Amino acid sequence: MSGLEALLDWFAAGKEAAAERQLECDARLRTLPREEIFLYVKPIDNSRVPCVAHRGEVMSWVMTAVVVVLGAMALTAAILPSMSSLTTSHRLESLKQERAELLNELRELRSQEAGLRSAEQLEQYAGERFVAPAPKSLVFAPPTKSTVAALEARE
Amino acid sequence: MNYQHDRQQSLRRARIAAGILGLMTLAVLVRLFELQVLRHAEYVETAQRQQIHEVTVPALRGEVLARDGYPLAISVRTESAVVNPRQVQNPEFFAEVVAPVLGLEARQLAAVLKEKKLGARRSSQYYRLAQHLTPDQRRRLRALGHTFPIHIIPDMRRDYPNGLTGAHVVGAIDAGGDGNAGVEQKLNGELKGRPGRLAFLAGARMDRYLSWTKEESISGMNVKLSIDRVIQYDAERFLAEGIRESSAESGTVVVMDPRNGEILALANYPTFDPRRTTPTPAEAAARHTNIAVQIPCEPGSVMKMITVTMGLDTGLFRPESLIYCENGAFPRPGRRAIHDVHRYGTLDVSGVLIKSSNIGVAKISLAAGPAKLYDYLKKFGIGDRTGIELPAESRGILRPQACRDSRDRNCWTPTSHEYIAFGHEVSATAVQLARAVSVIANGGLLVQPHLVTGRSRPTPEGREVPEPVRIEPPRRVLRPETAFTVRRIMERVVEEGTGKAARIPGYSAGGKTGSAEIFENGHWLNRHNSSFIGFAPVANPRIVVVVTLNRTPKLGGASAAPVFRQVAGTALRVLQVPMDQPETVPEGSKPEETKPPVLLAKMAEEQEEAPAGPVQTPALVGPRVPDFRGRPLVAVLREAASMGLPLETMGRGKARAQSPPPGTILAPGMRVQVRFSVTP
Repeated sequence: MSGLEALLDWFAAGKEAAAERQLECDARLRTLPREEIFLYVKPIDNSRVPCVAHRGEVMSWVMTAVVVVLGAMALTAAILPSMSSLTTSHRLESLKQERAELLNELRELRSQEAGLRSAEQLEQYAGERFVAPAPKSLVFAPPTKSTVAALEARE
Repeated sequence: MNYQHDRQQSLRRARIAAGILGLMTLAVLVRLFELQVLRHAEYVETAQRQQIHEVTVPALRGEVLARDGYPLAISVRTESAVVNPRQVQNPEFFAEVVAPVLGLEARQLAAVLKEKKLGARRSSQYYRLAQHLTPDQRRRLRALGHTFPIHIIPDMRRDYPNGLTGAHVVGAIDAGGDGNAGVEQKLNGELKGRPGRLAFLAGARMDRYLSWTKEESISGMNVKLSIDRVIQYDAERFLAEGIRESSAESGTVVVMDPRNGEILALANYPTFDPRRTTPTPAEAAARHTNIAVQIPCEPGSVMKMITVTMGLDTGLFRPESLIYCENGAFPRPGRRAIHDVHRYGTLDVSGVLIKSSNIGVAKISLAAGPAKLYDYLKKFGIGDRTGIELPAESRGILRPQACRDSRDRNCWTPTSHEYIAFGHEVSATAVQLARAVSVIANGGLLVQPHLVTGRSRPTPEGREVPEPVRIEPPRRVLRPETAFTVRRIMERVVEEGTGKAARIPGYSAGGKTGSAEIFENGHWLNRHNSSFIGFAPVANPRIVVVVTLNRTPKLGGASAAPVFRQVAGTALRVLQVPMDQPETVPEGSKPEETKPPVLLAKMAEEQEEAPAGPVQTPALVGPRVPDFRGRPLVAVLREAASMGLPLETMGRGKARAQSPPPGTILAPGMRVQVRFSVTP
């Protein structure tokens, strides 16, 4: 109210007039500048108005609230299984698809592994010198002192 | 009055208009009734046909696994990009945008699209832009799919990770996804699975709104083979080397476990690359020619193993029974003489097999009779398909012994059993020979050669349900003691006979060489189907190896036996079979290890050709070539036959030139070439 009042005052007479009017009665006619409009303004104090409690209205309000809550619960209970089923099946389908993709990836990796571990590939890695040595070309290193000592100790 | 008249006329006109409107409404209602009620189902069907489309979802083809579980053939789901050329409004613009994504030539793609657009009669004719899209290509094409009529459809790629290794066993598939060689062809029905169907709701421009699976695809069965990848690779490698060294045209190697008939390796030459979707004509021919199971050839001396076994098993002969080998020529009245390469006097039965005497085995066959020989050939599986899981298996050639009537020309002649005894007039595939050797190696049981050792059906949950594999149980066809005796004789063939080049360092081995000269277009070609069949170790054979080299100028002991040694050596090492002999090579065969392969082969050939034993001495005792010049063909043939000279004639008329010249002592294995002409 004070905002509108201040606005009107500002339109009507300025801050001084507004300060004067603070002391006068609130109920009066005011003119808007250059307009044939009169606005009657009066502040009302309803702080002392007693509020009469009506039990019927309270009960109806409570009943309405209960009905709404129960209805919402019933609706939720009715929709929840199908919604749950829907979301679960969606999740299931996405998991199935993910599994199929992973299995496909596994197949691709197995194929690559088999290619890398094929005899032909291993021979390429090992190079031309990857041949079984002839029996005569095997040279056995002489046993070390510690080996000899260990063997002697065992005997 | 006038006003009343106008009013009535207006009312009448209004009634007429209302009547017309009513009739029209009625007609519409009738038509609606017809469309919505009477022909409802028909129109719904028509609409569905126009709006609901189906695409086939290819089933995942089953895997072909090696013995160690690694895949020999495996399928991977991929995606392909297709376009309907009729929906492409500006092919040049389309090609400029799409071609770089797929790595294609824009101009070429535009030309193809234009051609397809003009040629397309129906809107459903699609052109495949690319197969097996990479993730990046798929992402970029999906984005372009909002602008261009590009569709991405499910597809499948068949990988052969081992490349050429085992190509003839595993086989390959054609563009339609069906097997066209090897196990892929033979077990196509099991491997292929059942394709599914995906339905989708589409508008007039084939824009998809909704899709659903109408029928789930069922994956094909996984098949586990008995093939060992390392043995297979080495068998192919050694076969190729052996063919190169012996100047053969083709060849095959079969490695089998004699105890259960599992094929450990099956190699053919020439081979092919199963990964190639557009093979060369030579590769296509190789793809459809599995020599080991489809091409029977005369086994030659290899067949003597069965004849000698028959002689021993029937009790007619003992290993030490003596047979007079007619000093190299066995003339029979009214029949062609049977010759030996070398002149042998009296040999025992073991010696007959060790020295590979044609006359000796012919006499064994004569003693037993044709019915008995036929019976034993059948017992060894000659003339019957083995049932191996490879396509177009040949049963070989073994004519029926008994004639149906006097006009039957398909049965044995009175002399057939003499020639069949040493491998003529009969043909067998390499797999049949492997089965026959297995009878000796496993103690007298006829096993079924097979490749498939396990089958399982993959479930959508990612598990595998095993399926039974039916294999014919081994059947006893020979007494174990006979098999053991023949095994020991065959060991001596390798130790001291024609198969010395087959000796494996560290292992005992038994075997038999075979060489059948090729007779083609009325001429002996001086080329052989050389073979070696053998097993190792002798005490408890773990492998049977059959090597066949076709159209080689060398004999089996010189060409096929070295291949046997290499393949069997590798197989025994891979199978971790304990050595039963000192690993060092015996003194007599030391040079074989140090000399180059060509020299080794030459030595082996000389050893095979060289006469051995007390009756023969080296080439000095060979026949001296007479002077045929100036004599007619009949006289030359008669004299050559009487002397047991191998003869090759060319032309007609009188003999004008001959090689070697008169007076030369004919070396073993050589033949006399005589050129005839009418004019001097």
